[in-house]
Amino acid sequence: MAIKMTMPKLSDTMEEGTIIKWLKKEGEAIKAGQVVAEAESDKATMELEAFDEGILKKIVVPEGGKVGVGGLIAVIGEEDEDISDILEANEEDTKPEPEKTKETNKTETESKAPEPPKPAVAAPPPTTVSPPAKTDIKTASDGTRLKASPLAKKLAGEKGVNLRSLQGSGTGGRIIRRDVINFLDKVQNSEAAEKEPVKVNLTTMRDVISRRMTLSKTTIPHFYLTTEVDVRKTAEFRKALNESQSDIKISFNDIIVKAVSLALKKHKNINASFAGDHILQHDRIDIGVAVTLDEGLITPVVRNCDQKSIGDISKEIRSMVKRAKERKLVPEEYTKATFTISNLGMYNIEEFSAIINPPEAAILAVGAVKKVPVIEEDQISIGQRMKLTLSSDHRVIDGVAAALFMRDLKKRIENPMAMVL
Amino acid sequence: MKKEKLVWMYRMMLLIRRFEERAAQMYGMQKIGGFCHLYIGQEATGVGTVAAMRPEDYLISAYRDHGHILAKGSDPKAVMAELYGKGTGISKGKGGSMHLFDIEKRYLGGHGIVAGQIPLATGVGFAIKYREEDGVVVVSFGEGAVHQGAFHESLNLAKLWKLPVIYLIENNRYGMGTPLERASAVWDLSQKACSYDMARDTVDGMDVLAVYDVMEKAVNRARKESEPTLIEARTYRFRGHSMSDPVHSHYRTREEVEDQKLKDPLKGFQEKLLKDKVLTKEDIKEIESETKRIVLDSVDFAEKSAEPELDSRFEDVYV
Amino acid sequence: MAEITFREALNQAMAEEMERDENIFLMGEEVGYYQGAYKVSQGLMERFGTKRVIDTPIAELGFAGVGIGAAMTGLRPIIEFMTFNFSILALDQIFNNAAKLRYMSGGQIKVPIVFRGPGGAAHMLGAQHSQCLDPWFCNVPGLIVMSPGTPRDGKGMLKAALRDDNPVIFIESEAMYGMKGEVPDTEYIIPIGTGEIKREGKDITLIGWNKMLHVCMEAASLLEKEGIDAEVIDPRTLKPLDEQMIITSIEKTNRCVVVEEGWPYAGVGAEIAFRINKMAFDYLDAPVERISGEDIPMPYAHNLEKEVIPGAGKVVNAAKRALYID
Repeated sequence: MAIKMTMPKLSDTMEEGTIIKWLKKEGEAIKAGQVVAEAESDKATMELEAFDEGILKKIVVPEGGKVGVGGLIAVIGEEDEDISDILEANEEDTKPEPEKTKETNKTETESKAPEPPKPAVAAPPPTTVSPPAKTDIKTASDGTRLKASPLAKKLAGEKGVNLRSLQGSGTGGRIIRRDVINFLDKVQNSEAAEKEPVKVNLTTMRDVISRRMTLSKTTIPHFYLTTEVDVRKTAEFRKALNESQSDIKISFNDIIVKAVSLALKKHKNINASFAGDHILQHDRIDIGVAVTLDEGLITPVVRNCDQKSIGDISKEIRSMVKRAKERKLVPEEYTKATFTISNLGMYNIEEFSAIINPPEAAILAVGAVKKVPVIEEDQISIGQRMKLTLSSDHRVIDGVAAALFMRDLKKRIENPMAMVL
Repeated sequence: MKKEKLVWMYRMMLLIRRFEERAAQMYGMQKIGGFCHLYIGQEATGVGTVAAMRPEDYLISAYRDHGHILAKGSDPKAVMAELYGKGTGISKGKGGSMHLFDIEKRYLGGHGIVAGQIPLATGVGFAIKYREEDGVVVVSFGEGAVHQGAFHESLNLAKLWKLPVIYLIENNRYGMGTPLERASAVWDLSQKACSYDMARDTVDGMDVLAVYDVMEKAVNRARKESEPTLIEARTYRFRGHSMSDPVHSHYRTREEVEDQKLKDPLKGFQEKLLKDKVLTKEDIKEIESETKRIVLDSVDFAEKSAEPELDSRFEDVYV
Repeated sequence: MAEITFREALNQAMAEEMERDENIFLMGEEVGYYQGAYKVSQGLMERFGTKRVIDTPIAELGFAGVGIGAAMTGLRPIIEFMTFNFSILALDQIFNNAAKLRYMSGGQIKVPIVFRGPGGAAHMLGAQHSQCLDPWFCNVPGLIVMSPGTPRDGKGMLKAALRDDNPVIFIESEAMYGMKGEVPDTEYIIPIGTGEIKREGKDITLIGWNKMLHVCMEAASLLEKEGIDAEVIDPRTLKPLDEQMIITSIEKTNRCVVVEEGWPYAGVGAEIAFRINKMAFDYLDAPVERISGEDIPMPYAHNLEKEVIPGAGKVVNAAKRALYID
């Protein structure tokens, strides 16, 4: 029996995936467990395994093509098995555009038998700048239906306007004539002054970030507390650690992760999530560490940090960062954090406010370590300071609770020796 | 009565009989489709009626119409071709068995809706009177049609306006499978005329000369006095209602049909013509073979004719 | 140009054509001695005699069939239905005979006949006397269906109908018989199948006929106050439809509201909307909007009836939807 191979859910937030590469060709034999393709989720590139043995009968989504989670990507079957019914059913599900109406017949009574629907054409691989191609007018590059009035489509076709770049003002976001006209006016007005901006299509990751950050910033009541930490002792502590072992290179961030985990253990109200009509306080202390990639960012999670040594935390983070950059992380490695740390210190950012990564209740933004003049006992000396800013979800955490957490955290970072005791 | 007229009657009754027999055969061979209602057994009624009319008088009937159009003088070839659904058919293949028309011969059609043609005939009578012509119109319908409002509305209007219309009930006893006795409160159907103070008559529809006599009186009344008449001709069909209906079944017995066949109008008339020495046995034989040739020619013509052009289906919807 | 009522215009059309062609006669209930139930045939019996203006008993099936029989043998009858509600009794004759005789006879027969009378609702006449049967007749091949909206159109269209060799269903309106309008003094004919732009505009096309023409005109005035320039077109003949006029208008305005008095399901407006979709698809900037009578038998009460029949307010709202104005 033919087996449908579908796009798996590769992350908690994944809604669709892109086929990056097919490792098998149509007609090739496949064994169960064999990797047949690579797919990009919103977070990473994943290997897709076949769960069944057979012949790769049909690749439904070509390289570069996108499909929703659960969508058919290929069919595996026996050598001479007929899989047309599966493909037909899939076509119906994906609802191809109806044929464009041709010239009117003289006699209205004449009705032609409906032509068989055309096979669903997967969108071309995403390109950075999309030309106003005809297919682009018909279907969005992510496979969703583009709503535009027939007149708007015709006008856009004539003027070479890419309807994807327009915002519809008609019913249900339908792009109508005035949208195209307004766009053309704008282009005309700006052409003299400046060149048209280059359009960059959203990657899956970019798309997810945009949606999740918008969700967070518009639905979570954020508030921010900033504190300055004296890291003179921390720096000495770090130096001592790094000198004691040659195979280890502890960063400030590693120390902060450990300090945060211990502070969270004490302040369970911070290690929490808002869940509609109740709050979840987590026992586990899983800290996400934001890592920048070319196309966005990802947060590998260090599990149970409170139980791990700084050295272990450090090694783990290093390994995960490396694999994140290679897009080799598996979903379990970058989901379900209870708290996130974002560090822009290495870019010499003094301080900043981060956006909470839902459903977490707080995120810590770590700034650069600075040498500053400090006055101690009326003497000016050179001190080392770092600023930490906590963004909190006010639905979960109140100001004082956050302040207490920050005070505790500050104390732990400033007295790092306590962490190894 | 002149010999020519008697011979014409005989020839026409025989032509209808042989034509219908052949139509039945061709229906069985699937050359003819749809509904096909045969006139076998009722020939005397149709032929006696037309014999009393002038060529310019109008005849209009129901769907058991092959006999009427042949009696009105239409070409059997064109009629057979119409049954075949050929482009050379009398209605260009758009009418079929139930919708034969020949305006030139003043045959205004076979009509498929029971009693639907009765108001039309009344209108034709109205037009004759309006133009002050001396024509008449005969409308034939089965006894099943007298229960429709169209029949009664027409009789009232025809009498009210004194129109030259002859309403001929061809009572073959069964409206499809329902005998008159189960369909009508009145069995003497010409009584229906009494409601409208209309002239009426009843005749043995198996006797072509009797039909002729009654019809002649009615035609004269219409032509000279512009008065309508209702005539009930009592006849019988030897075949089923249509091709799908067996000769005898739940509604009538084999014995009844065989009994009626003893009164076969064609056979009776032939015996009379022989007895009266209008025709000899040789004449009969010759007429028989000539008729056979005419019918076979009509089949041959229909066979060889082309089906209608596909585009012709859009023609004749509007003028 | 003289200003006369709708009924006078129709009366003139019949009188002029009867004068011209003695094969034309008028038949129906109360058309003679009574002078017409709605006085459309006033004076015709005196002028043409009882031979050509014929009162009938109440027998719609019968006299409709008489008319068809007379037409198939060369006369040119006008059959008046006191209202088209009563034509339902004659539908067998109209559908099975008038519409089909030419076809079934392979073109041997012509049926030059006009069935005329008022259709649609008048005022508080209840369910059986307030029916708009336009789609019924439009659905049958072989029939021509006309429905004038002004005295001028009524006269010119009825004259065209009386000169045509096909069966014509000519639907007037009780509510409009007293409506006055300018009618040319010289003879004119409005050919079958020709509509007219009743008001030029560029923003949206409103299509309406018979009473609904006036609803569209009122809606256009209301829209004008809001700065919307509506075009109103009247197809006048519903079958065959003046598609070219409609398409040309849509190509200009890109939006359309079709307004009909009849019931919504399988209505004439639905057919017009389909044809616009098919033939002017690439010119549409919004789905074709449609306003029809409500899908219920006509209630008697004044306020209820008013709700059921399309009014200018509903048309204005539909127009705004098509214009994406809230």
